[in-house]
Amino acid sequence: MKNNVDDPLWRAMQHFANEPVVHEIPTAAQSWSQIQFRLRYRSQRRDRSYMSTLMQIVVATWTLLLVVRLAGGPLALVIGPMLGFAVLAAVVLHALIYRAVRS
Amino acid sequence: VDETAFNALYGALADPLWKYVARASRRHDIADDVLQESFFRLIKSKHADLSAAEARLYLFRIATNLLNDRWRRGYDAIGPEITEAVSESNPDVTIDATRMLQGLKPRASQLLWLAFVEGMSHKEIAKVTGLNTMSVRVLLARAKRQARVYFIPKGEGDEK
Repeated sequence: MKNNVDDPLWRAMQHFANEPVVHEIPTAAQSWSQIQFRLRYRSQRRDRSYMSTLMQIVVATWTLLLVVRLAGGPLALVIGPMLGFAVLAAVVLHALIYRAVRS
Repeated sequence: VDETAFNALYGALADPLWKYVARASRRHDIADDVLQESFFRLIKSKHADLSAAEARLYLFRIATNLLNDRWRRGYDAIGPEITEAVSESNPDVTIDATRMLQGLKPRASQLLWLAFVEGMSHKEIAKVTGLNTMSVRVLLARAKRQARVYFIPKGEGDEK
């Protein structure tokens, strides 16, 4: 932007541009190490949370399968198709979570 | 981005970015947080290898968005008024720029800062604020008009 040195507003604002920073702002080294820590910690934590969600789905599916197996009889006929949908939903959810984590 | 490149970028941009956020939020702790978060997001993004000029716009954009988000969600109260006067005198008027920035709406003071302190063009300000260039032109003109309220004609201030 073209600034006019005769513009009092521009000249007033220049005080801010030239004023020294009195506060001790984080140094480059501090920020760099914080960023590296966060990048590492964040990816580990996200991976763990992703695995934890996946494990919950697997455990829930297998528990349901066990109940159906133990129950046997007509109940299994009702739950069977539902189980199919549950597994399908787990696969879709898996794909969605994987995409979200990796993006 | 390796540490050397980061240090060069940080050395060039940390001070102006910190000043921008500190003046807008009036709080040093928020300025520290937003500064570090902005650089973190830059490094994490796919834009980490931008040129210094592009990285500058990108960082100011992140910082502006972070500030706006924080205000919108009510995370932070704006800090206490900064009492030190930053005045500019010329033969006709005196301006207390600190009071002016505090008196204007956040959007107006952000635009004035980017235009007059950072010397950004309308197009660059548009990139930083997410507005279109025409809106920047209009809003900046309005902000300048509003700022004129804080001009004290010479003689009037002296009588007080």
